[in-house]
Amino acid sequence: MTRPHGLLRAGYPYSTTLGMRRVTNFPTDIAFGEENILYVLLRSEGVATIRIWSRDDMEELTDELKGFGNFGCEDGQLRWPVNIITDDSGNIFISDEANHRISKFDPDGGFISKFGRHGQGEGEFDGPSGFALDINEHFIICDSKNSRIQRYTKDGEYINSFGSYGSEPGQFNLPWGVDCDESGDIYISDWGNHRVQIFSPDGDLKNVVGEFGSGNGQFNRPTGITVDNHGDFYVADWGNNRVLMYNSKGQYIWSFYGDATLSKVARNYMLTNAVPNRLREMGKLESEKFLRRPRSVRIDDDFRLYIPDFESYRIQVYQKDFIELDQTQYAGPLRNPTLEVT
Amino acid sequence: MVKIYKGNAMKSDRQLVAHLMRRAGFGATPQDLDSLTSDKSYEEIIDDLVTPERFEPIDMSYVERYYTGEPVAVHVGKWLYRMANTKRPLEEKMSLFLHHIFPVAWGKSEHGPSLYREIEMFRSTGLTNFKHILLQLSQDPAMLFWLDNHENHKDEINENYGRELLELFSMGVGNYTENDIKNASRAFTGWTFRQPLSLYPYGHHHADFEFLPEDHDYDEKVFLGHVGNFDGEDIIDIIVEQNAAAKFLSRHLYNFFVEDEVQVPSWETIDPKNPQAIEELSKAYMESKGDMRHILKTLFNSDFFKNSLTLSKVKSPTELIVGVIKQTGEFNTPTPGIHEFAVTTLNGSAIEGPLAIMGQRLMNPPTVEGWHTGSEWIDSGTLSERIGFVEKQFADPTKPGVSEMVSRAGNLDDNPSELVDRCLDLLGAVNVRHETYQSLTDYARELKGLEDSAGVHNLIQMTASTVDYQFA
Repeated sequence: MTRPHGLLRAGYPYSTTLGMRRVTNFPTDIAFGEENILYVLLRSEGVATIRIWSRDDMEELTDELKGFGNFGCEDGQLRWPVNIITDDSGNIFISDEANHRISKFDPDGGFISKFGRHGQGEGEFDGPSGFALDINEHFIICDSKNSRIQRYTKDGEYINSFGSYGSEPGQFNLPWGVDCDESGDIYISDWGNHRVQIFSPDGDLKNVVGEFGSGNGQFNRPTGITVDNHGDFYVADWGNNRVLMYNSKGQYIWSFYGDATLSKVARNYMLTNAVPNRLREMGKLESEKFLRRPRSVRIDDDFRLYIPDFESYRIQVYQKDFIELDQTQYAGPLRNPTLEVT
Repeated sequence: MVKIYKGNAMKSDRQLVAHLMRRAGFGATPQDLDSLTSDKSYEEIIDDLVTPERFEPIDMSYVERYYTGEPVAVHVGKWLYRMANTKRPLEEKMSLFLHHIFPVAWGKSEHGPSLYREIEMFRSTGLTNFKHILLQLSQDPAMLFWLDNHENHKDEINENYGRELLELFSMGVGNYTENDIKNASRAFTGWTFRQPLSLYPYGHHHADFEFLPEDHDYDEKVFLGHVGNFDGEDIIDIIVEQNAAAKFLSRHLYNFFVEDEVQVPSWETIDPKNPQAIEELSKAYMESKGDMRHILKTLFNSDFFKNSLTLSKVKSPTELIVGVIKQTGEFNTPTPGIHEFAVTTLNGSAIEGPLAIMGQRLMNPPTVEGWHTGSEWIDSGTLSERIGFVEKQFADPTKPGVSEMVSRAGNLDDNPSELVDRCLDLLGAVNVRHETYQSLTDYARELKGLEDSAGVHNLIQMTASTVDYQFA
């Protein structure tokens, strides 16, 4: 896929909210399945499971719930899962920073295989957190407590790694999230250093974005990261309860703080619960819409942005609104800013 | 060659410092004791303890990166992690102290965020002064709901909070009248909280204190001989000036940090075990206007505290569990499972965890009086659970703290007494009775012939599993 010459950014309106407490508690990440399926990875202490959900939400809380995975160390079980991704065949892969491995499941959740074990050597992990597939269908994996990025084949064969512990450019402190763009560049959210680092496919540092803070473009513990087909990238800013968006140059564009409304399943639930409806009138309802501790952000091929809203048990969805521009519609780069009226 | 640090060669006495760290904190690892005794005098260590801001706080973003979840047990687990790993042990110990004397249980409201924020409030106020503590307590949504002050209206007084403030939280029975309770309660009318959003559909939201002037009784009140248009803060101002408040708090501190006392309901009829100590602490209270740092410095520097090494002080279940995991090092970084210590059927779990079985469900105290402490922690069931817990946690020699102890303890060929001495020292300079010491040296002799590290590990595990280890 070729990036457009330019973009007319028409907006990024809020679209909908999915899920609610009890059925999508603590969504730590999501992945896109065939047709209308969302795999929602749920994680809390003693709980690790995947809810198979519809992008249209559910009607009732009492609908039959589908899912797979449970808490534990055995094959197919999970303890501290961080990321869930799918490949073109619909297979599902999940990283687990307590079991120190990547597990593979079929589209229905049947366990297929795993790779990785605890350690510091090749083929070993200490807290694998975020991971992604690059253009060669290789896994790029944040080996967080080993402060390095490892590359594996899809069969789990070790290829190479880069990075070390520290705060200098190119070094890491508990890296959390990773994604790759169509050119193979690797985007890492460097959690402990409050920044994003972008590397070439060979692991050469290309750009460092952000610093500690709560202002525009600053981070407080960046977690998940995703890059879209325009080269825009999005970072879940955990400590600031928001998601930040940057363009392909690493320039800050804007922030998502949350605009949640009642999901379909939540509306139907609340219709039969009189007391909570009264309490909503007595409380500070505005606070309900904001993101709380997001750990991930994902975007699908239709430029729908999904933010698992970790501590609010739901997924907030936005729709990127844009027009791709050609050379006649988008001027060349300007070296200087201008005050000329245009 | 294993080096044993002796008090005379160091800046402070190892056994006394170990005693201090057990009482003012949750014990110390051998490495902690090495550095403390070599670098600082006893008085300097106390100064550090009461000045926690000299040390970095726990990075909670790091803790919450790994530990997440809604159940109370998860939040208790995070608190246990803090207690075991903090560089500010007295700050955490004071949070526990205030949770003991101002107990609020999750079970009444099941509103977790209020309770967790209350513990955070205890953490931030524990080393301030008694007035500030009582004022924050009186504006704490968890407490306001627990003792019904949200139902205390100017035209319909609810005396529950006003009564317990005087009886259980500040002065004790015999120091006020029923009329004082009524007037105190009137002064707290309109002290409530803003309704938080409900748990459904999107999870808990915290509650904030709110004062409703239209619901406050602004008429004249008579309280402990004072007359005025008092509000809640005025009432607290009067309380904290009372000798009764000084004595009440002092006895609580003595019970928590020095020696097991009788239970609070008996304080009206049974004198303190050490009246002179209570007098010293009360004097420190009055001269500092209830400054907790000053009172605690007085306590830890006193002869009665230094001499309390052999006085009976049963570890609370929390002190026992945190002390053990601090020494084994199994949770020196976030690792799955710490919340399992805190699960209880009261919080919806299918099983009871060790804290519950030992009788201390943190954030779920049994009544407004809190837990009965001292010898009441122990019965045949809880003692068995306590010793079994310690034995289990020390069973794995690969845990970092256990491995360190095994490597430092020596060899089975060493003199058995010296080997036992080292094990006691490594476990935090544990003070044991003569018969326990004799049994351990006999056991050390029996171990000769075993492979060294396995045998030494056995001895360490056995030493930790003695009844003597159950005392702070």
